[in-house]
Amino acid sequence: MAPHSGIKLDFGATPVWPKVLPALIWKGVQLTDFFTENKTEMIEVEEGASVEELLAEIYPKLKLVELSNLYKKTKEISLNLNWEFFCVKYGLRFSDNFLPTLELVANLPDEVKKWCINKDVSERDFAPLMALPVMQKGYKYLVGVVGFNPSRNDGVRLFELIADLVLSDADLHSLFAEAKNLNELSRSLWSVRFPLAAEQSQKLTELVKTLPWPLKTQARAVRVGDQSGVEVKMFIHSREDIRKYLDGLAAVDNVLASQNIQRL
Amino acid sequence: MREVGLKDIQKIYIEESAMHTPVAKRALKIFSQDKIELVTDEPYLLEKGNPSAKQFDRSKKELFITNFKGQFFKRCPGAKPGLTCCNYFVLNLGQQCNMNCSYCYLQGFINSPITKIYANIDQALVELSEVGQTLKDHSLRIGTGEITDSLSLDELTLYSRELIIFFRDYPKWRLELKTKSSRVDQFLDVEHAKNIIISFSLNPQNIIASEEHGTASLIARLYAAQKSRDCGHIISFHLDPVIYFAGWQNSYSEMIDEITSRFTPQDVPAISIGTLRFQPAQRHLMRERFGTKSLTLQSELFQSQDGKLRYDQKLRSEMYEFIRQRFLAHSREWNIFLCMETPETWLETFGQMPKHMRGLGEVFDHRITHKLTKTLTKKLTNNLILKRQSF
Repeated sequence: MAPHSGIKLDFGATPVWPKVLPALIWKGVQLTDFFTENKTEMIEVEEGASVEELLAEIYPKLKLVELSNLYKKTKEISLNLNWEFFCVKYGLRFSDNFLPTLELVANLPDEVKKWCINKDVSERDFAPLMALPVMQKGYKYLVGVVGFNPSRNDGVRLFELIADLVLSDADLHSLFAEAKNLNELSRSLWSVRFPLAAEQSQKLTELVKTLPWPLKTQARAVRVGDQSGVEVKMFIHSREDIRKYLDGLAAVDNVLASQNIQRL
Repeated sequence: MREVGLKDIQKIYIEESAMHTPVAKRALKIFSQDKIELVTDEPYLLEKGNPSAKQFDRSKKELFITNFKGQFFKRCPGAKPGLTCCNYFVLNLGQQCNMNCSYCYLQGFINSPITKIYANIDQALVELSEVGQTLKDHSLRIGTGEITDSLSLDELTLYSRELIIFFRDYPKWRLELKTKSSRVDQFLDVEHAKNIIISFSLNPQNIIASEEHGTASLIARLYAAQKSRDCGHIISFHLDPVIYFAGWQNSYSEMIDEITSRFTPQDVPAISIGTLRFQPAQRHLMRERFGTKSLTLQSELFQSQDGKLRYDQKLRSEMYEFIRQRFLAHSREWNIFLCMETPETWLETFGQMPKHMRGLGEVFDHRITHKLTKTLTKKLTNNLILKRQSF
C-alpha cells in the first residue's frame, strides 16, 4: 500500500463524501473526504484501477465547473487524466476546445462559478469568453452580472455583450456603477454594443409618442430580429370599435405622410 | 497582406487511391518531398467536434488530395424558404479555402480540419454528362465557388481548363468560376464557347486589408477581370459582403468608380450585391480568430427570417440603394441584383420582385428551376448509387 502523500484532490465537488465512510486513497492521493479533521480511517483503492474510473464511481454527477476545478487541481499535482473518458461519462462533447474551456472556467471568480453551478451553465455557453484567454479586466463585470442573479439565458447573453465590449476596449465601469437592476444593466450594455440600433430605437420611441394613436391603444417601439417597428395593442369588442381604430390609424398615417416617413 | 498561393501550403496529404490522378501527380512535382505524405485515411480523423480556432487556422495551410465519393452537383444553398433565390447549381470540387476572410461562412460549415481537393474530377464530369443527356439545351448556371474558391488553388488543380473544355460542348450552360484571387493566367489560352463567367467578389481595398486576409488586392482582381474579359470571357462581380463602417459610402463609391472606369455594362452582364451575413453559431469562432477589431465582429447584426445574422433591414436597404444608384449614375445599363435576400428587402430596394424585372425574369423564375431540379434529382440519385457501388 502506497503511503498517503498528503496530496488531496480537493476540487470542490458539490456531493459531500459521507462522514461515516473511510476516505479513499489512490496511489497516495486522497480522493475523498477533505473536510473531516483527523480522519484516521483511509482505504487504499486497488492500484490497478484507473483514477478516471474511480472518480467517475465516486462522483456519478459532476458539473462543468466542478470538472474545471478537477482539471486545475490535477494540473497542479501533475496528474494527467483522460478527459475524453469524463466527457463520455458526464454527457459532454469532447473537442479541441474542451480543455481550454475547462482552463477558462477554472480561472473564473468564485461568485461566477457558483452562479454557473446553480444555473447549470454548459460548455457551449462559455464560447463567447473563449476569445478572452486572460480576461482579468473583464472578470469584475462578470461578477457584476451574476450579482443580479440573472437567469441562465440572460446571464450568458450579458457575458457575450461584455466579451465584445471588453475586446473593443469599452469602458464599462460607470455603466455598472449606475445600473440599479438587471434590466437597466442589460439595456445599457445593449446600447453600448449596438449604438446605431439604440439610436434608431430612441428616435422611433420619440416618434411613437408624437403620433395621434386612437384612444385606448398601446403603441411602443420594438425590435423583432433585424427589423424595428411599432407594436400596437388594441382591444375590440364591436364593429364600431374597429371603425374607430381604423379612423384613428388613418390619422397616424396622415401624420407620417405629412412628414414623408415611408417606414418606421 | 499579400495574396496567398501554393508556396503558403505547409503540408500535402495524398490519399493512396488518388495517387494516379493528374492533380496528385502535379502536387508531387510542385511541392518538395518533405511536405508530402501518402495516407490511406483522411488526416485528423480522430479529432472530434467542430474545429477549434487553432485547427481551423491549420486547415487553411494543409491539403488533402482525395477522391470524393458523394454527389458533386447540387442546388445552391440560397434556395431556401424565406429568401429570394437566383436559381443556381453548384459543382463542389473541393472543400475549404486557403484564403482567410473574417466573415467566411465556412467557419460555421466545415467540420473537417483540412482543405480537401477532390482528385476525381473525371467523375464530376461524368456526372455533368449524365445531366447533359436530358438537359443539354436548358439554360443551366453552374458554379464551383460555393465551399471553396474556384481559382485560388487552380494553379495546382488546373480544373478551370478541364471545365472550360467540357463546357464547350454545352453552349447553353454557363459555368461560373468565382474567386477573390487574381489567378487567371492558367486558363486564358483555352478555347471556350463564350459561356464561362469569371466572377470576382469585390470590396473596397480597406475592407480587403482588414477582413479579406490573403486575398488579392482590389486592383489585382480588377486587372485579372480585365485580362479575362480581353480573352472573351463573361465577367461578373459580386459586391458581397457589403460591410458597414463609418465612411462606407466613400469607400464603396470609390470602388464603383474604379469598376466603371475599367468596365462597361456590356462587359459585366450582372452584378450581385449582398450585405454581411452569417450563421449565429460561427460568431464565437470569428471572435476568437479575429477579435472585435474586425469590422465584421463590431457590426450590429440581428437574427433575420432565415436565422442568419444580418444588419437591420432598413440599413441593408439603404446600402443596397446607395450602391445601385452609384452604378446607375454612371450608366442606366448596369444590371444589379441582390444575393440571398428576403422578399421585403427586394421590394424596398427595387420596388418589385426580381422575376418581374428586366434581365432578371428568367434567372429568378422558379418554375424553370423546379423542373430542372426534379429531373436532376432523379438522375443524380441513380448515378450516386452506381458510383458508390463502384468504390
